[in-house]
Amino acid sequence: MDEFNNGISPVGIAHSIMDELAKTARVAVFATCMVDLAGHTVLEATEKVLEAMGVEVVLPDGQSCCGQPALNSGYPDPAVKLAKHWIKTFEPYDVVVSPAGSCVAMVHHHFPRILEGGWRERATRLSKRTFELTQFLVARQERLAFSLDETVTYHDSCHMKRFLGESSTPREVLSWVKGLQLVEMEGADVCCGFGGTFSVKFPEVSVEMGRLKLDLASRTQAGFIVSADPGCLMHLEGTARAQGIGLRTMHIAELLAKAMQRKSEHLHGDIRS
Amino acid sequence: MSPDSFPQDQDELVAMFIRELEAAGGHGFICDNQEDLIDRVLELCGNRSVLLEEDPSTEPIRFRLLEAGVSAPSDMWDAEVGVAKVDFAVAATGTLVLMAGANRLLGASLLPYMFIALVDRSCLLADFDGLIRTLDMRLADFDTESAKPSAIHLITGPSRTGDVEMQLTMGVHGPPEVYALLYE
Amino acid sequence: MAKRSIGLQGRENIYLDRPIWASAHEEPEGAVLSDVVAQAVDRPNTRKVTDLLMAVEEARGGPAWPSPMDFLRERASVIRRETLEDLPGYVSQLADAARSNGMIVHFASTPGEARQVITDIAKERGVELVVKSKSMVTEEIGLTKHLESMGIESVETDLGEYIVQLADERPSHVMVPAIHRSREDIARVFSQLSGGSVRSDIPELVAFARQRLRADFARADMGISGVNFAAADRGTLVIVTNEGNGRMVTSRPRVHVAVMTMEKVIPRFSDLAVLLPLLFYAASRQRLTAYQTFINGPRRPGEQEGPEEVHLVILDNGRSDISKGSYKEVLACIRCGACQSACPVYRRVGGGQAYLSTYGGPIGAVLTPLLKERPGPSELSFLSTLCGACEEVCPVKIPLTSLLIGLRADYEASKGPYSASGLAWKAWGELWSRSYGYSLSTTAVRLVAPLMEKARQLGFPLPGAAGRWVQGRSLPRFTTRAQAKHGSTAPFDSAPPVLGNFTSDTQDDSSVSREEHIDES
Repeated sequence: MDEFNNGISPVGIAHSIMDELAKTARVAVFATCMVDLAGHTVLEATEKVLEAMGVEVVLPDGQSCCGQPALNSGYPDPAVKLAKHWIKTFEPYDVVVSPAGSCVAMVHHHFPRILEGGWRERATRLSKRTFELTQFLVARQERLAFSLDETVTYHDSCHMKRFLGESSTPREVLSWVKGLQLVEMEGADVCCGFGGTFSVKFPEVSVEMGRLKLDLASRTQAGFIVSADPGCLMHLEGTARAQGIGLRTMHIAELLAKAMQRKSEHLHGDIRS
Repeated sequence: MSPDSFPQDQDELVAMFIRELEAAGGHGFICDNQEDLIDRVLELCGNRSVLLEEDPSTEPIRFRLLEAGVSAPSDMWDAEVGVAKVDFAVAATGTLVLMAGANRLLGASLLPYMFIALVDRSCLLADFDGLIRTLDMRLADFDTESAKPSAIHLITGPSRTGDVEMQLTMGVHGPPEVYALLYE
Repeated sequence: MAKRSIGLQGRENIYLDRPIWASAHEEPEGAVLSDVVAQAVDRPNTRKVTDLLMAVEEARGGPAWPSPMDFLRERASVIRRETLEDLPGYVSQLADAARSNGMIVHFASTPGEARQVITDIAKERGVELVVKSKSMVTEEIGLTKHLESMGIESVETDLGEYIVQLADERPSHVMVPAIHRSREDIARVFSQLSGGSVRSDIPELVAFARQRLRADFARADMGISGVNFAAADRGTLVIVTNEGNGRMVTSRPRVHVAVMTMEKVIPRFSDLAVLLPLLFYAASRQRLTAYQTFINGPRRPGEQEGPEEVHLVILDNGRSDISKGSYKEVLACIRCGACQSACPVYRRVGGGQAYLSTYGGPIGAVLTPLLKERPGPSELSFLSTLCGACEEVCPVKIPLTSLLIGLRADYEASKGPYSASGLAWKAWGELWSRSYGYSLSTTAVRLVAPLMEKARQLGFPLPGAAGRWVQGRSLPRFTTRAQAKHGSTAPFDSAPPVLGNFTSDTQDDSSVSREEHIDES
C-alpha cells in the first residue's frame, strides 16, 4: 500500500471481452470453501444452470479457498499462499465461474494487492477470465426459459457490489424468470452483518445487523431473500432460523435451477412435499 | 459549475441571490432607492433596540432611527436587531460576506435576534468559486499584517442546528432571522 | 471567587445514566471492546440511531456522487494527497504565514504537550472561564477534563457537545455529537440542570441552550476552537459551524486558541473552493453551512472587535510518522463524518462511543491504532465487516477497508510469531494450499458439525468460534459436495448426503435430501 490508490475501483471487465469469453464451451467452476462445506446444493444448481446453457462444467481437482478468511483476519501470509494455489489451480482454464460474489471480488480486488511481481501479473490476467455466476450468464447472451411464481427480494453482497462492482447482472438474471416478481427492499446494499471473522468476534452486532436486514427484506412481503453470496446467506439463514423469523433465504443459482425444472410452481408448496 | 453557466445580467444575479438566500431560510428584498432602503430597515426594526454599524453610508439610517425613537442598546448583547453592510454577496449560494475592519461592527451580524444585511448590488459575485478567488487576491494584496482583516465571515441564512435527532432547527447562537436588502 | 459558567450551573444535579465506558471522565482502559460492543447493541436508543441514520440516507437518496460533486471529489483527493507528500513543509509554511499574520504558533508533539501549552496560556492571562466550539483534537488531548483539573471551567457551546458534556459522555459522531440521545433524553438532562421542566420539543431545547450559553459567550476570557482547514499560503484558519458558536468563540473572548492536528493544513487558500463545498456535501448534503469564519490573526489597530491574541496550537501525536508510512492516506480525512453515518456497524452499535475511542466509526478504527498516544483500543480495526460503505461515501477516497486489513495484520503480527491464532492460521494455510489437506479438513468439519449441533441441542456450550456463532444463530448445516465431477482426489465418496444449508427451503428435521428434491423432476 505504498502507492496511493483511489479507493474503490471495481475491476470491471470490458463487456465486449466478457461477451467474447462467455462463448466458451467449457468453464471451470470455483466452488469456494463455504459452498464446499455447507452448500453443495448451490454447487449443483450452478452446474445445472450452466449445463443447461450447453456449457461443460469442470470442477478442477485440488481447488481450495481463495484465502480471504486469512486476509481479513490479519494473516496475509497464508492468504498469499492460498492465492497462489488458487492461481495454479485455475490458470489452465479459459474461463472460471463462481457462485460466490465475495470470493470473485477477492480474486479481482485483493489478489493484485497482496501478490507481487509475476504473481501479480498472473492474478490480473486470470481475474479477467473470472466471473461471478450471474455475470457469466448475462455475458453468455443465451436465454433459457425460466419460470417460477414467486416474490423475492435481492440482497447485494457488499463485496460483490462494491469491490467487484456488480449489482446489475443478478437483477437482470432474475428478470428472465417468468412469473417471478423482484421487490427491492430499502437498503438492498446494506451489509447483512456477516463479515467473516467479524461474525464470531462481535456476534451480538453481527446478529442484530442480520435481523435488521431480514426485517427490511420482510417488509417487501417477499417469500425469499435471494443473494449471490453464500456467506451472507449462511449468516442470514442461521439468524432467521434461530430468531424464528419466517423469511427464507435462497441462493440465486438455486432459484434458477428451480425455475428451470418446473414450469411454474410456487416454492412454498415444495417445502413439505 | 463554470461561471459561464451563470447569468451575466445583474437583475438575474439579484434574483438568483434572493432565491438562494430564501432556500437557506433567509429573506431578500430589492430596494428601489435609498429612501426605500431606509424605510425597509425601519419597518423591520419596529421599535426594537438596534445595533447599527457606524459608517458614513449608514448615517441616514441612524438619523431616521433616532427620529423614530429607536434606541441603541447600552450593551450590544441586548440588541434585538443588527444592521450592517456587507462586502460581498454570492448569488449562487445566497451568501453574505463581511470583513473585519476599522468602524466595522461584526457583532451586528451575530449577536442580535435579527440581522439585516445591506447589500450594494455591485458587491454581488456569481458563485462561491469566484468569492474564494476574490478573497484570495485581496489577502495576497495586503502586504502588512495590520492591513489584513483579522477575520472574514461568510453567512448563509439563519443560524441552525441538526444536533437533536438530526432535525433541522433554526436559531441557535447566531440570528434566527436574516434579511438582505439589496440597493444600488 | 472564580468566574463560573452559567451554562454548566446545576450540572451536579444531572443523573448520569451513561455506562461508565461512555464517560468523558473515566478511563475506559479496563473495558473489553467485544463486551462493550455487546452492551452497546442493547442500549435503549441504539435502534433509534440505526433507524435515524438509515432514514436520513434514504431521504438523501440518489447516487452518492452526482457528476458535479464527483468532480470536486477527484480534485479534493488530489489536493489532499499532494499535501501529504510534504506535510512538514506545508506545516512550516503555515506557521510562518500565521506568525506574519500576528498569530502565536505553538507546536506540540504529544497530547500532554498540547495540554501544557494551552493551560500555560490560560494561566498566564488569568483565564477563569473558557468557551469551546466543537473540535475533535481537543477531545483527543482530553482538554476539557484537564482544564477543569486546573480550576478553569470550560464549556462546550456546540449544542450536541453541550449535551454530552452535561451528561458526562464522549461525543458519538464527528458532526452530530449527541446522535445517541433522543429529544426526551435531552429534555431530561436540561430539566435536571435547570431544576425546572423543559419540554421535549426541539425548538424549545434549542432555545434553552441559546439562552443558557449567551452569558458564557459574553463573559468568557478565552475561546478555544478547532480548525477545519488552515491555508499554508495565506496563514488563514477556517472554522465552519451551523450554529454560530464558532464565530462567538473566535471573536468575543479576549484570547482565542485554535487547536489543530497537523494534517488540517491545505496548500492554498484557493483550495477552499473545492474542499468547503465537498465537506458540506459529504457531511450533510448542504451546499454551505450557515457560517464559515476565516481567521487571519488578532484584532487589528482600529478594529473594534476580535481577540487581542490568537494562538495556533499544532498537534502531531504520531502524524509525522503516519505521513511517511503505508497508512498515510488516513490523514487525507476532512472529518465530515460520512463514513460514520454510512457504516452499518457504527449504526447498529448506536454511534461512536462503543469504539472506546475519541474517533469512532471506520475512520476511528483506522486512525486510533496509528496515533502515538492512542485514544482507544488497538484492536479497533476488527470492528468492521469490511463492507466498503465507508469508502463509497468518503469525499477524499480514503481506501478504508484496505487500511483496516493492513492494521489487522499489524495487530496480529504484534502478538509475535508464536501466538495461538498465528500458528492456527499458518497451519490452515499449509493445509488448505494442498488438495488433500483441504478435503481432509472440510470433511472433518462435516463430520464434527452434526455432533456440535447435537451437543448444542442438549444444552452444552460450544467452544470457540462455534460458540460465538450460535449466539443468536443456528449452525450451518454442513454438507458434502456432490462427488461426481470431482477427480479421484476427493475422498469419502460414501459420506451421506445431508441437507443443504443456504436455503431455508428445507425443514430442520427432514430426512429428505436436497438431491432428491432436485432430481424428482
